[in-house]
Amino acid sequence: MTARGQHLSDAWYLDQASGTLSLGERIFMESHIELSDEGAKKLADFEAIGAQILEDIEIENASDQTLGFDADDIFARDLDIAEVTTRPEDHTDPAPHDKQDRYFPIALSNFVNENKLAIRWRFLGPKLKKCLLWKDKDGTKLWMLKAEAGAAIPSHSHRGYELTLVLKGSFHDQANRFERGHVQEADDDTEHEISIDEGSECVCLALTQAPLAFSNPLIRALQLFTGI
Amino acid sequence: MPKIGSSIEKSPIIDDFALLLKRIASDRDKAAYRLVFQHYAPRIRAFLIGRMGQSASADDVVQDVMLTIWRKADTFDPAKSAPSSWIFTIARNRMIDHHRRASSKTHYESEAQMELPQPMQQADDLIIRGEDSQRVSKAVRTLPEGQAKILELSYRDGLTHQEIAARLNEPLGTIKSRIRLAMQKLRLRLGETT
Repeated sequence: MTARGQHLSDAWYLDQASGTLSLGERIFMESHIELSDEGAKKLADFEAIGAQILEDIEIENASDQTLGFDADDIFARDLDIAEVTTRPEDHTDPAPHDKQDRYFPIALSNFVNENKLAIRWRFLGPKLKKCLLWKDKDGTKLWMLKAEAGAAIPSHSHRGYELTLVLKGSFHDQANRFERGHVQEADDDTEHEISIDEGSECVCLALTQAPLAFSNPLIRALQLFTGI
Repeated sequence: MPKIGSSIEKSPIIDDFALLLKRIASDRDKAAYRLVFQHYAPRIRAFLIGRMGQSASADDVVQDVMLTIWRKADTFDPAKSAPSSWIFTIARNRMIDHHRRASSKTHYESEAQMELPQPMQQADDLIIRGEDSQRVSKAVRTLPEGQAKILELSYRDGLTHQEIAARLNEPLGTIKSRIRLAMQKLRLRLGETT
Protein backbone atom coordinates (compact mmCIF):
# COMPACT_ATOMS: atom_id res chain seq x y z
CA MET A 1 0.00 0.00 0.00
CA THR A 2 1.22 3.49 -0.75
CA ALA A 3 -0.18 6.66 0.76
CA ARG A 4 0.20 9.55 -1.63
CA GLY A 5 0.12 13.28 -1.39
CA GLN A 6 0.31 15.66 1.48
CA HIS A 7 -0.05 13.38 4.45
CA LEU A 8 0.79 9.96 5.85
CA SER A 9 -1.43 7.30 7.36
CA ASP A 10 -2.99 8.29 10.67
CA ALA A 11 -0.81 5.82 12.58
CA TRP A 12 2.19 8.11 12.16
CA TYR A 13 0.39 11.13 13.63
CA LEU A 14 -0.77 8.98 16.55
CA ASP A 15 2.84 7.94 17.19
CA GLN A 16 4.02 11.55 16.93
CA ALA A 17 1.28 12.80 19.28
CA SER A 18 1.91 10.11 21.90
CA GLY A 19 5.66 10.71 21.84
CA THR A 20 6.62 7.15 20.98
CA LEU A 21 8.83 7.74 17.96
CA SER A 22 12.59 7.39 17.79
CA LEU A 23 14.71 10.50 17.23
CA GLY A 24 15.06 10.03 13.47
CA GLU A 25 11.37 9.29 13.03
CA ARG A 26 10.51 12.37 15.07
CA ILE A 27 12.75 14.65 13.00
CA PHE A 28 11.09 13.30 9.87
CA MET A 29 7.59 13.90 11.24
CA GLU A 30 8.42 17.39 12.55
CA SER A 31 9.88 18.30 9.15
CA HIS A 32 6.78 17.00 7.39
CA ILE A 33 4.38 18.81 9.72
CA GLU A 34 6.22 22.08 9.21
CA LEU A 35 5.56 21.83 5.49
CA SER A 36 2.01 20.43 5.56
CA ASP A 37 -1.07 22.19 6.94
CA GLU A 38 -3.04 18.98 6.57
CA GLY A 39 -0.39 17.04 8.48
CA ALA A 40 -0.40 19.70 11.24
CA LYS A 41 -4.18 19.38 11.57
CA LYS A 42 -3.98 15.62 11.86
CA LEU A 43 -1.33 15.90 14.57
CA ALA A 44 -3.39 18.49 16.45
CA ASP A 45 -6.38 16.12 16.41
CA PHE A 46 -4.36 13.31 17.93
CA GLU A 47 -2.86 15.70 20.50
CA ALA A 48 -6.42 16.63 21.50
CA ILE A 49 -7.10 12.93 22.11
CA GLY A 50 -3.94 12.69 24.20
CA ALA A 51 -4.99 15.76 26.17
CA GLN A 52 -8.35 14.18 26.90
CA ILE A 53 -6.69 10.98 28.07
CA LEU A 54 -4.62 13.13 30.45
CA GLU A 55 -7.80 14.83 31.69
CA ASP A 56 -9.54 11.49 32.15
CA ILE A 57 -6.91 10.09 34.48
CA GLU A 58 -8.72 9.58 37.76
CA ILE A 59 -6.85 10.85 40.76
CA GLU A 60 -8.12 9.27 43.96
CA ASN A 61 -6.91 12.15 46.05
CA ALA A 62 -6.73 15.11 43.71
CA SER A 63 -4.49 17.08 46.02
CA ASP A 64 -0.75 17.34 45.60
CA GLN A 65 -0.11 14.96 48.50
CA THR A 66 1.34 12.27 46.26
CA LEU A 67 3.87 14.71 44.87
CA GLY A 68 7.22 15.35 46.46
CA PHE A 69 6.89 19.05 45.77
CA ASP A 70 4.26 21.77 45.65
CA ALA A 71 3.64 25.03 43.83
CA ASP A 72 5.93 26.91 46.22
CA ASP A 73 8.82 24.67 45.18
CA ILE A 74 8.13 25.62 41.56
CA PHE A 75 8.22 29.34 42.43
CA ALA A 76 11.51 28.82 44.30
CA ARG A 77 13.03 26.89 41.40
CA ASP A 78 11.93 29.62 39.03
CA LEU A 79 13.85 32.19 41.09
CA ASP A 80 16.94 29.96 41.11
CA ILE A 81 16.87 29.66 37.33
CA ALA A 82 16.22 33.37 36.86
CA GLU A 83 19.49 34.12 38.63
CA VAL A 84 21.56 32.06 36.21
CA THR A 85 19.83 32.75 32.91
CA THR A 86 21.78 35.87 32.14
CA ARG A 87 24.26 33.77 30.19
CA PRO A 88 24.12 34.90 26.56
CA GLU A 89 23.84 31.34 25.21
CA ASP A 90 20.50 30.96 26.92
CA HIS A 91 18.95 33.39 24.49
CA THR A 92 20.69 32.65 21.25
CA ASP A 93 18.58 32.00 18.20
CA PRO A 94 18.99 28.83 16.21
CA ALA A 95 22.02 28.94 13.96
CA PRO A 96 21.23 30.69 10.68
CA HIS A 97 20.82 28.49 7.66
CA ASP A 98 23.68 28.60 5.23
CA LYS A 99 23.10 28.55 1.49
CA GLN A 100 23.24 24.79 1.36
CA ASP A 101 20.35 24.09 3.68
CA ARG A 102 18.09 27.07 3.04
CA TYR A 103 15.35 24.70 1.97
CA PHE A 104 15.65 22.61 5.13
CA PRO A 105 12.66 22.67 7.48
CA ILE A 106 13.57 24.24 10.84
CA ALA A 107 13.31 20.87 12.62
CA LEU A 108 15.86 19.35 10.27
CA SER A 109 18.11 22.39 10.37
CA ASN A 110 18.11 22.40 14.18
CA PHE A 111 18.87 18.68 14.24
CA VAL A 112 21.83 19.19 11.92
CA ASN A 113 23.14 22.17 13.89
CA GLU A 114 22.64 20.71 17.37
CA ASN A 115 24.46 17.54 16.41
CA LYS A 116 27.11 19.46 14.44
CA LEU A 117 26.50 17.30 11.40
CA ALA A 118 28.40 18.08 8.23
CA ILE A 119 26.28 17.66 5.11
CA ARG A 120 28.47 15.54 2.87
CA TRP A 121 26.92 14.11 -0.26
CA ARG A 122 28.17 10.69 -1.29
CA PHE A 123 27.70 8.65 -4.44
CA LEU A 124 24.55 6.55 -4.54
CA GLY A 125 24.15 5.91 -8.24
CA PRO A 126 24.15 7.73 -11.58
CA LYS A 127 22.89 11.30 -10.91
CA LEU A 128 22.11 10.30 -7.33
CA LYS A 129 23.76 11.28 -4.04
CA LYS A 130 22.95 10.45 -0.46
CA CYS A 131 23.71 11.88 2.96
CA LEU A 132 23.12 9.72 6.02
CA LEU A 133 21.90 11.78 8.99
CA TRP A 134 20.98 9.22 11.63
CA LYS A 135 20.90 5.49 12.10
CA ASP A 136 19.09 3.53 14.79
CA LYS A 137 20.25 0.27 16.38
CA ASP A 138 17.56 -1.60 14.47
CA GLY A 139 18.84 -0.31 11.13
CA THR A 140 16.28 2.46 10.60
CA LYS A 141 17.93 5.34 8.78
CA LEU A 142 17.17 9.01 8.28
CA TRP A 143 18.93 10.22 5.19
CA MET A 144 18.70 12.66 2.34
CA LEU A 145 18.63 11.92 -1.34
CA LYS A 146 19.83 14.47 -3.88
CA ALA A 147 18.95 13.65 -7.46
CA GLU A 148 19.68 15.54 -10.65
CA ALA A 149 16.81 16.58 -12.89
CA GLY A 150 15.67 13.63 -14.98
CA ALA A 151 17.34 11.01 -12.79
CA ALA A 152 15.59 7.72 -12.04
CA ILE A 153 15.55 5.38 -9.07
CA PRO A 154 14.99 1.90 -10.50
CA SER A 155 12.13 -0.36 -9.51
CA HIS A 156 12.38 -1.43 -5.90
CA SER A 157 10.32 -2.75 -3.02
CA HIS A 158 10.82 -2.46 0.73
CA ARG A 159 11.47 -4.61 3.74
CA GLY A 160 9.58 -2.41 6.15
CA TYR A 161 8.44 1.16 5.70
CA GLU A 162 9.90 3.94 3.59
CA LEU A 163 8.73 7.52 4.06
CA THR A 164 9.88 10.21 1.65
CA LEU A 165 9.40 13.96 2.11
CA VAL A 166 10.20 16.29 -0.78
CA LEU A 167 12.29 19.26 0.37
CA LYS A 168 13.21 20.68 -3.01
CA GLY A 169 12.20 20.00 -6.61
CA SER A 170 9.74 17.28 -7.50
CA PHE A 171 9.47 13.65 -8.60
CA HIS A 172 6.83 11.31 -9.91
CA ASP A 173 6.12 7.60 -9.84
CA GLN A 174 3.73 5.51 -11.89
CA ALA A 175 0.66 7.36 -10.63
CA ASN A 176 1.45 10.63 -8.86
CA ARG A 177 3.64 13.71 -8.76
CA PHE A 178 5.24 14.84 -5.50
CA GLU A 179 6.56 18.33 -4.78
CA ARG A 180 7.90 20.24 -1.76
CA GLY A 181 6.03 19.23 1.39
CA HIS A 182 4.48 16.13 -0.17
CA VAL A 183 5.15 12.74 1.37
CA GLN A 184 5.16 9.27 -0.05
CA GLU A 185 4.58 6.29 2.23
CA ALA A 186 5.59 2.86 1.07
CA ASP A 187 5.69 -0.48 2.83
CA ASP A 188 6.27 -4.18 2.19
CA ASP A 189 3.56 -4.37 -0.45
CA THR A 190 4.85 -1.47 -2.53
CA GLU A 191 7.03 -1.87 -5.58
CA HIS A 192 7.66 1.33 -7.47
CA GLU A 193 10.14 3.29 -9.47
CA ILE A 194 10.72 6.99 -9.12
CA SER A 195 11.67 9.58 -11.73
CA ILE A 196 12.91 13.07 -10.92
CA ASP A 197 11.11 15.79 -12.85
CA GLU A 198 13.00 17.88 -15.39
CA GLY A 199 14.01 21.46 -14.61
CA SER A 200 15.47 21.21 -11.12
CA GLU A 201 17.38 18.89 -8.87
CA CYS A 202 15.30 17.16 -6.22
CA VAL A 203 16.24 16.76 -2.56
CA CYS A 204 14.21 14.45 -0.32
CA LEU A 205 14.35 13.50 3.34
CA ALA A 206 13.87 9.76 3.65
CA LEU A 207 13.19 7.42 6.53
CA THR A 208 13.79 3.76 5.74
CA GLN A 209 13.37 0.82 8.08
CA ALA A 210 15.56 -1.53 6.07
CA PRO A 211 17.60 -1.41 2.86
CA LEU A 212 15.58 -1.04 -0.30
CA ALA A 213 15.07 -4.24 -2.27
CA PHE A 214 16.00 -3.55 -5.89
CA SER A 215 14.76 -5.87 -8.63
CA ASN A 216 17.94 -5.51 -10.66
CA PRO A 217 20.76 -7.80 -9.38
CA LEU A 218 23.44 -5.35 -10.54
CA ILE A 219 21.92 -2.63 -8.42
CA ARG A 220 21.62 -5.02 -5.49
CA ALA A 221 25.37 -5.59 -5.79
CA LEU A 222 25.93 -1.82 -5.80
CA GLN A 223 24.03 -1.57 -2.51
CA LEU A 224 27.00 -3.20 -0.78
CA PHE A 225 28.85 0.04 -1.39
CA THR A 226 26.09 2.58 -1.03
CA GLY A 227 24.45 1.14 2.10
CA ILE A 228 20.94 2.31 1.22
CA MET B 1 -5.59 3.37 35.53
CA PRO B 2 -9.17 3.62 34.35
CA LYS B 3 -10.28 2.81 30.85
CA ILE B 4 -9.87 5.65 28.40
CA GLY B 5 -12.73 8.10 28.47
CA SER B 6 -14.27 6.71 31.66
CA SER B 7 -14.35 9.88 33.73
CA ILE B 8 -16.11 12.34 31.48
CA GLU B 9 -18.20 13.66 34.36
CA LYS B 10 -15.07 14.96 36.02
CA SER B 11 -13.79 16.90 33.02
CA PRO B 12 -12.90 20.46 33.98
CA ILE B 13 -14.31 23.57 32.43
CA ILE B 14 -11.78 24.32 29.74
CA ASP B 15 -12.39 28.06 29.68
CA ASP B 16 -11.47 28.28 33.35
CA PHE B 17 -8.01 26.92 32.74
CA ALA B 18 -7.55 29.22 29.76
CA LEU B 19 -8.40 32.13 32.02
CA LEU B 20 -6.05 30.91 34.74
CA LEU B 21 -3.18 30.58 32.27
CA LYS B 22 -3.89 34.08 31.02
CA ARG B 23 -3.70 35.41 34.58
CA ILE B 24 -0.44 33.57 35.17
CA ALA B 25 1.01 35.08 32.01
CA SER B 26 -0.15 38.64 32.56
CA ASP B 27 -0.04 39.00 36.38
CA ARG B 28 2.25 36.16 37.51
CA ASP B 29 -0.80 35.18 39.55
CA LYS B 30 0.34 32.53 42.05
CA ALA B 31 -3.20 31.74 43.19
CA ALA B 32 -4.18 30.98 39.59
CA TYR B 33 -1.10 28.81 39.20
CA ARG B 34 -1.95 26.85 42.34
CA LEU B 35 -5.30 25.86 40.81
CA VAL B 36 -3.63 24.73 37.60
CA PHE B 37 -1.04 22.87 39.68
CA GLN B 38 -3.68 21.16 41.80
CA HIS B 39 -5.55 19.84 38.77
CA TYR B 40 -2.73 18.95 36.41
CA ALA B 41 0.34 18.02 38.49
CA PRO B 42 -1.15 14.73 39.81
CA ARG B 43 -2.47 13.83 36.37
CA ILE B 44 0.84 14.58 34.67
CA ARG B 45 2.59 12.51 37.33
CA ALA B 46 0.24 9.58 36.77
CA PHE B 47 0.67 9.89 33.00
CA LEU B 48 4.47 10.05 33.22
CA ILE B 49 4.74 7.20 35.72
CA GLY B 50 2.70 5.13 33.29
CA ARG B 51 5.22 5.92 30.58
CA MET B 52 8.47 6.12 32.54
CA GLY B 53 7.83 3.91 35.55
CA GLN B 54 7.78 4.95 39.19
CA SER B 55 11.07 6.77 39.42
CA ALA B 56 12.84 9.90 40.52
CA SER B 57 13.23 10.73 36.83
CA ALA B 58 9.47 10.81 36.34
CA ASP B 59 9.11 13.18 39.29
CA ASP B 60 11.88 15.38 37.84
CA VAL B 61 10.01 15.60 34.55
CA VAL B 62 6.77 16.48 36.34
CA GLN B 63 8.64 19.35 38.00
CA ASP B 64 10.02 20.46 34.64
CA VAL B 65 6.54 20.41 33.12
CA MET B 66 5.02 22.40 35.98
CA LEU B 67 7.91 24.87 35.86
CA THR B 68 7.43 25.30 32.11
CA ILE B 69 3.73 26.03 32.63
CA TRP B 70 4.64 28.71 35.17
CA ARG B 71 7.41 30.28 33.13
CA LYS B 72 5.93 29.99 29.64
CA ALA B 73 2.23 30.62 30.19
CA ASP B 74 2.55 33.64 27.89
CA THR B 75 3.07 31.27 24.95
CA PHE B 76 -0.35 29.69 25.47
CA ASP B 77 -2.82 31.01 22.92
CA PRO B 78 -6.46 30.04 23.57
CA ALA B 79 -7.31 30.80 19.94
CA LYS B 80 -4.94 28.06 18.83
CA SER B 81 -5.31 25.24 21.31
CA ALA B 82 -7.11 24.07 24.42
CA PRO B 83 -5.23 24.40 27.75
CA SER B 84 -5.21 20.61 28.10
CA SER B 85 -3.67 20.17 24.64
CA TRP B 86 -1.01 22.79 25.42
CA ILE B 87 -0.16 21.12 28.73
CA PHE B 88 -0.25 17.60 27.25
CA THR B 89 2.24 18.55 24.55
CA ILE B 90 4.56 20.14 27.13
CA ALA B 91 4.46 16.92 29.19
CA ARG B 92 5.11 14.82 26.12
CA ASN B 93 7.95 17.06 24.91
CA ARG B 94 9.63 17.17 28.31
CA MET B 95 9.42 13.37 28.54
CA ILE B 96 11.05 13.09 25.11
CA ASP B 97 13.65 15.65 26.16
CA HIS B 98 14.45 13.58 29.23
CA HIS B 99 14.92 10.41 27.17
CA ARG B 100 17.14 12.32 24.76
CA ARG B 101 19.32 13.71 27.55
CA ALA B 102 19.58 10.28 29.10
CA SER B 103 20.80 8.82 25.83
CA SER B 104 23.17 11.63 24.92
CA LYS B 105 25.62 13.09 27.37
CA THR B 106 26.54 15.79 24.88
CA HIS B 107 23.14 17.43 25.25
CA TYR B 108 22.99 20.42 27.52
CA GLU B 109 19.93 22.17 28.78
CA SER B 110 19.13 25.81 28.52
CA GLU B 111 15.98 27.85 28.43
CA ALA B 112 16.48 28.38 24.71
CA GLN B 113 16.21 24.65 24.15
CA MET B 114 13.11 24.02 26.21
CA GLU B 115 10.71 22.22 23.93
CA LEU B 116 7.43 24.03 23.78
CA PRO B 117 4.49 22.99 21.67
CA GLN B 118 4.75 24.04 18.07
CA PRO B 119 2.23 26.65 16.97
CA MET B 120 -0.93 24.94 15.90
CA GLN B 121 -3.55 25.81 13.33
CA GLN B 122 -6.18 28.37 14.11
CA ALA B 123 -8.92 26.75 16.15
CA ASP B 124 -11.50 27.33 13.45
CA ASP B 125 -9.53 25.07 11.14
CA LEU B 126 -9.45 22.21 13.56
CA ILE B 127 -11.99 19.48 13.67
CA ILE B 128 -11.27 18.63 17.28
CA ARG B 129 -11.09 21.81 19.32
CA GLY B 130 -10.64 22.71 22.93
CA GLU B 131 -14.29 23.38 23.58
CA ASP B 132 -15.03 19.89 22.29
CA SER B 133 -13.13 18.37 25.18
CA GLN B 134 -16.03 16.66 26.92
CA ARG B 135 -17.42 15.48 23.63
CA VAL B 136 -14.00 14.10 22.71
CA SER B 137 -14.03 12.08 25.90
CA LYS B 138 -17.53 10.81 25.19
CA ALA B 139 -16.66 9.95 21.60
CA VAL B 140 -13.51 8.08 22.60
CA ARG B 141 -15.54 6.11 25.13
CA THR B 142 -17.87 4.87 22.40
CA LEU B 143 -15.11 3.52 20.17
CA PRO B 144 -15.08 -0.24 19.61
CA GLU B 145 -12.84 -2.01 22.12
CA GLY B 146 -10.21 -2.88 19.52
CA GLN B 147 -9.79 0.77 18.51
CA ALA B 148 -9.81 2.12 22.07
CA LYS B 149 -7.22 -0.50 23.03
CA ILE B 150 -4.82 0.85 20.41
CA LEU B 151 -5.15 4.40 21.74
CA GLU B 152 -4.53 3.13 25.24
CA LEU B 153 -1.42 1.19 24.19
CA SER B 154 -0.13 4.26 22.39
CA TYR B 155 -0.73 7.03 24.94
CA ARG B 156 -0.63 5.04 28.17
CA ASP B 157 2.00 2.40 27.39
CA GLY B 158 4.03 4.38 24.86
CA LEU B 159 4.01 1.83 22.04
CA THR B 160 4.38 2.76 18.38
CA HIS B 161 1.85 1.42 15.90
CA GLN B 162 4.41 -1.19 14.83
CA GLU B 163 4.94 -2.28 18.43
CA ILE B 164 1.19 -2.41 18.96
CA ALA B 165 0.86 -4.75 15.97
CA ALA B 166 3.51 -7.01 17.50
CA ARG B 167 1.96 -6.85 20.99
CA LEU B 168 -1.50 -7.75 19.70
CA ASN B 169 -0.11 -10.21 17.15
CA GLU B 170 -2.10 -8.50 14.40
CA PRO B 171 -0.97 -7.52 10.88
CA LEU B 172 0.40 -3.98 10.67
CA GLY B 173 -2.23 -3.10 8.08
CA THR B 174 -5.00 -4.08 10.49
CA ILE B 175 -3.63 -1.79 13.20
CA LYS B 176 -3.25 1.10 10.75
CA SER B 177 -6.82 0.57 9.54
CA ARG B 178 -8.16 0.57 13.11
CA ILE B 179 -6.35 3.83 13.86
CA ARG B 180 -7.76 5.39 10.70
CA LEU B 181 -11.26 4.14 11.47
CA ALA B 182 -11.04 5.36 15.06
CA MET B 183 -10.12 8.87 13.93
CA GLN B 184 -12.81 8.80 11.23
CA LYS B 185 -15.42 7.88 13.84
CA LEU B 186 -14.23 10.55 16.24
CA ARG B 187 -14.35 13.22 13.55
CA LEU B 188 -17.77 12.03 12.40
CA ARG B 189 -19.27 11.94 15.88
CA LEU B 190 -17.87 15.32 16.80
CA GLY B 191 -18.98 16.76 13.49
CA GLU B 192 -22.51 15.41 13.86
CA THR B 193 -23.13 17.35 17.06
CA THR B 194 -21.41 20.59 16.05
